[in-house]
Amino acid sequence: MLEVKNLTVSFHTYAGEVQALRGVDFAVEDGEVLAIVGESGCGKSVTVQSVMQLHKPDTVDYKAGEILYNGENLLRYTEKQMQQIRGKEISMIFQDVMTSLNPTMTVGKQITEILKIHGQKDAGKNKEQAIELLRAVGIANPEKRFDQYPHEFSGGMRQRVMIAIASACNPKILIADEPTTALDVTVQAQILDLMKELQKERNMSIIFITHNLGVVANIAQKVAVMYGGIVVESGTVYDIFYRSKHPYTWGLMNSTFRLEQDKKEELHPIEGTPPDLLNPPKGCPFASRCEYAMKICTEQLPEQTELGTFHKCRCHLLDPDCPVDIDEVRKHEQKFS
Amino acid sequence: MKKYILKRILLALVTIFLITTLTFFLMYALPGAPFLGDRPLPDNVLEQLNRQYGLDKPIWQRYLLYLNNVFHGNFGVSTVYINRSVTSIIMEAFPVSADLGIRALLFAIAGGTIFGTISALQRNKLADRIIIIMVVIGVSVPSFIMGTFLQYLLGMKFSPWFMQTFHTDYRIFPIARWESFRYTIIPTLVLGLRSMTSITRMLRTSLLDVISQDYIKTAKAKGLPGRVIVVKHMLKNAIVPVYTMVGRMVGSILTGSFIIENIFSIPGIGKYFINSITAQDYQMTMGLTLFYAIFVVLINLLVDLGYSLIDPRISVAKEI
Repeated sequence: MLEVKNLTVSFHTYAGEVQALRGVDFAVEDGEVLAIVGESGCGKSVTVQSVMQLHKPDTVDYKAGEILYNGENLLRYTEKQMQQIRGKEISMIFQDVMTSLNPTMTVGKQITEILKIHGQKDAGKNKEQAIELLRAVGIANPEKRFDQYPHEFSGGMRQRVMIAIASACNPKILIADEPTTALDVTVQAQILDLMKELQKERNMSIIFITHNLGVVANIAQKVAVMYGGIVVESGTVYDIFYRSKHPYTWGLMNSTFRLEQDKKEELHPIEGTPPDLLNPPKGCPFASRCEYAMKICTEQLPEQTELGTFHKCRCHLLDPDCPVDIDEVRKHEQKFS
Repeated sequence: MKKYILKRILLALVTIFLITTLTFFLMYALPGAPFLGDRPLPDNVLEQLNRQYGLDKPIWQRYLLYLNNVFHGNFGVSTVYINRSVTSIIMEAFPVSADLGIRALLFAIAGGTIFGTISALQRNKLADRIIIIMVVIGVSVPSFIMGTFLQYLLGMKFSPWFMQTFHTDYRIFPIARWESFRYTIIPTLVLGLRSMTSITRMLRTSLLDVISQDYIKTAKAKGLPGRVIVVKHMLKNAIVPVYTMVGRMVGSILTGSFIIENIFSIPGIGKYFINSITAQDYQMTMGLTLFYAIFVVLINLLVDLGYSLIDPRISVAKEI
């Protein structure tokens, strides 16, 4: 339903051109949850905000690629056409719950506003529906809460309100940009449950951005791992968790706690820092931190290798001419961790 | 809420009492006295005048007498405008100053909002740069220069040209006096210009801060059109610091401007205040100071009460 192909996006800043995305590919089908994972600055948020075209128009440059929604390229849409997409077809919730609601507008108004803009003009009916939405996302006493301001809500409650707003017009796709990162662990679980419930009920697709692999396993069917502005590996949850082929994905797994982990076992962080996107490396962005980097890795960006129906990976280790057998490498890796 | 207002009024009374006392003694500490004009009066006449106005009594007696009078609503009699009470002068001149002040304030708010918004939305583009130049001029050129300049440009050059070109007797921009709407245009522009440019600058800064907030992204993600985002989400949040500034302006703009009233010969209250000090018209100075004090304190109270309407996070009632 949503297909992003070779998306290349740059930002013009005082320091120069930041090449935030350098050819991102992924697809989301009907009723499917896709998780995009990766560390800070890898381009996760830029990707989804490009889908919604929320970037400031005077600094962003969509250099190449297409964002196909039901076969239509959203990058060709005018601002007016995009307004019809935003909130109605694709909606979005954000990471920072404390600042993503307008502090001078009642919560009720912020919900009825989206109903009104997408064609429902009857104020009384809108209010009823808004109260119903508040109840659906688990807010007690919605009649009273309707007239309150965001500062009278806790963090978790605000994220519920955001979900109510985002789901108000029954969008086909919900984009959640780290919706649980700023919340307590217990509240995180509640918000995740709520999203799963909504997703099942309405058969929405969700694009879920996170850097928490536990959350990924909990909610997603498909995963795209991003690094340095490209998708390095993507596939089903099973592909990524059990059959991953990219050294960066291994690194991510090794730096996460597992239940069966021995107390004495240490976590292995990935050494080094992510690449500077003002001046990105010519080859694979992960090459400078990769334990298995070869000469070609610093010179040439690896092409995508198809490993299964959904499983795709960009790594020179997968090249048929590569002298090292990736499965041998993987075994070696597991011995270490 | 009631308790809060009561508390504020009590505080205001204390403030006003302190201002009265301080002004009273400072004023008498000035060298000189009333009736000491260019031509000295004969001693017996001066003595009689002093007795008539109670200036022969010791200062503490005069102070208590003044407090007693004020308490009974009597602000005294002017020693310059013979036989005119201070109250009657205020009643006559203040409405004119307030009229001009309100016009100037409305002009400043309307202009400041429009220019500030354009400037912030067009940041670093041509419109923004032009507005910034206007702001610099408005803030730095003193009102007496701007006043005489506009008098010359609009009053002496444009109006006659207009009358000649369209064969009419109608003078759109009269140079001075205070009679009908067209007489108010230039003074309003001049008095309001500085406030307008200050509002423009403040709103621009405030809006630029709001524009990058997350809730603006939320608003955009809802599919709202640009103008709704600007009015309902940006301006409503950016207005809070501007409101504080406008609140402080109200007091000073409404109490009249000596310079502008002089340039345009407007019978306002500003010139009475300045003249009363140079002429050592004690009652007049005291009366006007007291009047200004009460007025400003009252405006400040209203401004503070208005906060909770502008920003729901500020609640007056809960503060006590």
